[in-house]
Amino acid sequence: MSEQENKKNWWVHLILIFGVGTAVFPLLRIIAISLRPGDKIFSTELSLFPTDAHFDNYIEVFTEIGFFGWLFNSIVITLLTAVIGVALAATAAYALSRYKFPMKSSVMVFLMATQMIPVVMLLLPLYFMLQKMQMIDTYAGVIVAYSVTTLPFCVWLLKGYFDTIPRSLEESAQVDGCTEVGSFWRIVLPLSTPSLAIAMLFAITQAWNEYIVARVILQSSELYTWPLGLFELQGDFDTRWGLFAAASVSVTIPVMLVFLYSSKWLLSGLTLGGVKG
Amino acid sequence: MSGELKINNVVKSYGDKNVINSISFGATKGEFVVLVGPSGCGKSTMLRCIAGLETINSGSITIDGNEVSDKAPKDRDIAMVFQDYALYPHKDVYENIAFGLRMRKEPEAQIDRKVRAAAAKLDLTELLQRKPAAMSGGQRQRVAIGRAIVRDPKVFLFDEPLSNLDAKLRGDMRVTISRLHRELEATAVYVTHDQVEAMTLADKIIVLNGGKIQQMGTPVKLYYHPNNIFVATFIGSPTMNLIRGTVDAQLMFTSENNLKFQIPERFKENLSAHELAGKKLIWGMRTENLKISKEDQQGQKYAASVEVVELMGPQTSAHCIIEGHAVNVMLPTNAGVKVGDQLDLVFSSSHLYLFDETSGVSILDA
Repeated sequence: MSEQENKKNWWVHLILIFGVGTAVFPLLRIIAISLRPGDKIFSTELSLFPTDAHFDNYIEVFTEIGFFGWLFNSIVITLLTAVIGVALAATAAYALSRYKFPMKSSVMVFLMATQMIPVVMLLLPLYFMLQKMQMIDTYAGVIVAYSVTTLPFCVWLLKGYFDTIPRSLEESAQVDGCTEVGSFWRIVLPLSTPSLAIAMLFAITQAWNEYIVARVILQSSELYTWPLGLFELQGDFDTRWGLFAAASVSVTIPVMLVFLYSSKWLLSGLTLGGVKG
Repeated sequence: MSGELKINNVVKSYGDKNVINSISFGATKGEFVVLVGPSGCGKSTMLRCIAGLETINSGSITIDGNEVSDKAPKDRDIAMVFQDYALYPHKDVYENIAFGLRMRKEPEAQIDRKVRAAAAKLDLTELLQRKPAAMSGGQRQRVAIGRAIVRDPKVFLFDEPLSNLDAKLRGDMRVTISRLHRELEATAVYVTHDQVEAMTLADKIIVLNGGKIQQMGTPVKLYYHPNNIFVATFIGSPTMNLIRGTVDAQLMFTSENNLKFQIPERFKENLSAHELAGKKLIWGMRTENLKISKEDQQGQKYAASVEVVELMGPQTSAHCIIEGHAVNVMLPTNAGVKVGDQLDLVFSSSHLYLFDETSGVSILDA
């Protein structure tokens, strides 16, 4: 490596370290707070493991305040949202990528435009629609709302990826004995795992962290997702920040695991080399 | 099992534009048919119609007497080799070749036997566990061919399979395809824009242009007896020389630049059917029919000055100017022709072509 490149790398590293530091600092703070005993919550101590660190907050979160139920609700809603959302997005994106039909470009622009509308604007119409369909205060209501809001982004993402897969692969599969659906299922989808993983992660993080829509649709506390549950801990006069922090740390763990697991899909470039180099 | 393919009056259009204009031809059992023509002539579209990847507007396509034009590609019992190979990137060579058999739910032992036999035929045994990304272009194309032959289909379709390979590999693969065709006695339709491939592989060549068949026949027939100027110039390398002019009542051909050529008396009868007076004609001569004249040779000599020389091994292509006409001549390399040489050339009238300039139709080939 030349002298000049070394210098460049040094700068790149400095910027990256700053970026990582900024991103991780709040997380470290919340971990520290979650470990503090109740009387030291508002201390200005900066160490990651405070003196007298203990896990009482965690134990209380999981045993005494119904947090498990909220977590379970969130997991069910998130997984179903991801699966339904990505399934709809993949089929829609495939149609947009492979078939010619009238108004196709308008459909794409329209999808893009819906992405620009803030979710708060949709709250009222969404509420009325779900009420008509008797889906207020149900899992289904939240799942429908979440799936459709993740659709535009996922459709765009997947369409872009499908466009890069040569059509001759599907044609070859059809000559080899697949139906059109079969070639989509056996050839296109396996080749699209990187982009499907990204779409899936997008849907998961959206659904997992969402608060406002859930607040409007879910009314009974046994159906609450964890963000709603977390805010239950906020009282008018007293917020139990220790529990709040412990719960916050707990909910990041599943998402982090998903990210770690899917990183191998994200990195693989599977379509390399299938057609002429 | 090889089958018999029949194409009847097939029309394919996109909007108002007819890409294929009522084409009919057939391929008998074991026949190797090559569709050849310039880009955009409809040859690939024709092949895709046979495969079922495009629907036809009218006409019929039958394989062994069964109408297949409304059937899905998978129900036509065909196999196709694509120009870009179209190997499944997520499957290794073995699974790529096995895919068609798996789709047909053949028993595992039979699949294994067939895949290994096909791999052995194509020298792929060592590569069975490789992914397409880790192979060269030639190897990938062999896998694509393996995927086709393992199925033992009624008709093989090749869509410009060699055009992405370099010249040497292309030559090798041409021989491989020719050998496989003979071994398998397979019915094949092969699309190419390369007339050398067409000449070397075909039992029957079909020359297409503008969505119409210009001529079909054996390579030899197309080379020596082209129907029209298009076929005459498309088939054969280097291209046939063309000189514009007219013929008078004494059968004297006079070019635009006053180059004269006496058409031998023996062709008088052949030409009597045509009204030649005043008609604009094109005289065609193959490059190998011009020779350097010997000292004592009789007959008309043409003074030629050599402009460019291309060495092609035992033969040299000399681009000459005769009376202002650019003429390409194939000469033996050992004649030692150099740029700037003045040659005396004689034309051997054993192969003489005359075309009508306006219609392009051949009026004399002998």
